[in-house]
Amino acid sequence: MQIWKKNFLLIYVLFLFVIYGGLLILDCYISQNEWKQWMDHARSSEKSLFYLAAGLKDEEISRISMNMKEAAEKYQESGIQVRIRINSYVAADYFPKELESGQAVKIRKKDGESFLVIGEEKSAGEDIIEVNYAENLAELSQFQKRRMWIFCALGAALSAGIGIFLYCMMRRINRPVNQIAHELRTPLTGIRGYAEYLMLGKLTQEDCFFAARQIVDSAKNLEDITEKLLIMGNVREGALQIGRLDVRRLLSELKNQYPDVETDCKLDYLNGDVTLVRCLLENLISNAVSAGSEVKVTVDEKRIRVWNDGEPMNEKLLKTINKGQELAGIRGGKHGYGIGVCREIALVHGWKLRYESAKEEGTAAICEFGQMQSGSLNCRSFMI
Amino acid sequence: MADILIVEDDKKINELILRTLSMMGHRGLPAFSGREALLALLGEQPDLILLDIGLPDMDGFLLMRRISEEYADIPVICVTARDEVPDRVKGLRGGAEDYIVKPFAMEELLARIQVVLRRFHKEQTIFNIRDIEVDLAGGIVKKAGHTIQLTNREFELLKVLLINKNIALSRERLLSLAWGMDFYGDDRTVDVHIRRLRQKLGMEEDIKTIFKYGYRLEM
Repeated sequence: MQIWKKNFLLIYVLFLFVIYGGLLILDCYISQNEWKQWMDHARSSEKSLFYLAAGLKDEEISRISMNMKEAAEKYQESGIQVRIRINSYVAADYFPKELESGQAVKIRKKDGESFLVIGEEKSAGEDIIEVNYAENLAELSQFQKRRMWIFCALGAALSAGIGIFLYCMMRRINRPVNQIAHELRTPLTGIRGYAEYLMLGKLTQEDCFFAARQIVDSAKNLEDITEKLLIMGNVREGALQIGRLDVRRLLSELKNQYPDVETDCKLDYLNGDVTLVRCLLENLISNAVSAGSEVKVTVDEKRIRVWNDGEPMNEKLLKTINKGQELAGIRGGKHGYGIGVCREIALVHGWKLRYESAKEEGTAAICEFGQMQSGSLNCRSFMI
Repeated sequence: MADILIVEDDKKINELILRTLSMMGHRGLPAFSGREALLALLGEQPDLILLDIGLPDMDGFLLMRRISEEYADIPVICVTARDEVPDRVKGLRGGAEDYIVKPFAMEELLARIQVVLRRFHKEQTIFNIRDIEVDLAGGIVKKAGHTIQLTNREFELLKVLLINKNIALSRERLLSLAWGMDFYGDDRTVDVHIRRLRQKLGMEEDIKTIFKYGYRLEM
């Protein structure tokens, strides 16, 4: 199993612990509060009965009996069974014998159902009043069970959501690493292979020179890839130094590097990171020079356009580039990081890089500024 | 010696494999895309195909399936940068005889090519060096028509040198190839046997000593 998958599983299991642990703690806390409230309510109901009995104790027996029975029946309707005794006279008795618990607050079971049982004996003047109170807990128990299932379902949904998100994120992070490793292998094969060829083979002077040149080329290629990766890393994480960039000067410098490239500059200054914009232009021109024989660079207030007359890109490649997907998987050009770097640079400047390609019209890389560029904007620097 | 079709889009790697194979006496046929490989197969009947999976115009696995359907008797070795287990499994299940991941040692590539050629009975068994004739299958060595008696170890050493001709082999490598992995002898054992081989076959000029490294049979 790949390391990132192992990491994913580890993190996911940790998340499961956190999610289900959190939900369990929450459930326990809510249940505890519910119990407290239920208990308080039962206590207060039991006390109401006591006060009712204490208020009626001096009345006639028949009146006491009628009132207490009426009260007990009302309780009975809401699932509460009570027995009220004043001295030796039992005023109302709906209390099941199986739930007898003496003087205490207890949870007792009857026919598979749980009851909260309160038994209390108090004196009211010279009289002794005993109230036995039993409340069915089935409703509370059902409610708590239902909540537990809801929490389980919530936990499962959360775990699934987080799992999918985490998996996609980790795969996304890991994919470029895989691609980079893949791209580094080709120049490494060249370096190692030609070094072995030099070391082990029976070679002429020309063969030796050829092999050495291949090693140098492969090393250069490797350097190129690592440099671009470093730039991409810096662009993504580092500080961006925005300054006023002399476009005409930059183009004339690049023209020294690529003398056959035609330039048309209608903009004096551009606001951007000098190093990065130079890298962007260099890459776009280098790609265009490799693709076609005629290359033209146009810079105006709205965009940079690098056009070449080479073979048009196929639809799949054009779509991939314009969607901003990684190019390393697509072969045919070089390693694909050049465009990736350009895209990142354009992005951090708030610009948009897109490609246009059609038969008989050539291919153009267009970097649109979004905001109108002019030579008078202030220089500033900020962190990205 | 074998004809080997090299299907690899990277020109440098293609050239490297081609040169190394030529050095060993094989004939390399370069192809830089899947289409070129299929075109080459129409005109040639190579003994082996070295196939890169990441080709510019078609999927290497697809090409391999086509080759195994249409040219079932040509073995294929995948040479690719894809090192993940699913890719290896896909390659081997798709009909590849072997799977080599870049960057690879040329010695390893050559050894694997040799194993596959042997498996398909396409390995060269008769070698001629001036007036010396070596029959690897029969275990016979003749010099100017006369049979030369070699010990088993000397014959094994000669065989290793012949199979890896024009390639420098270190003393350790010679020990492991000719004596086997379990041999715990001194590197100098190789020197003694090489000296005997040179004397018996008159190969003083053919078996070159590579300073502080090993030996190379030059043909």
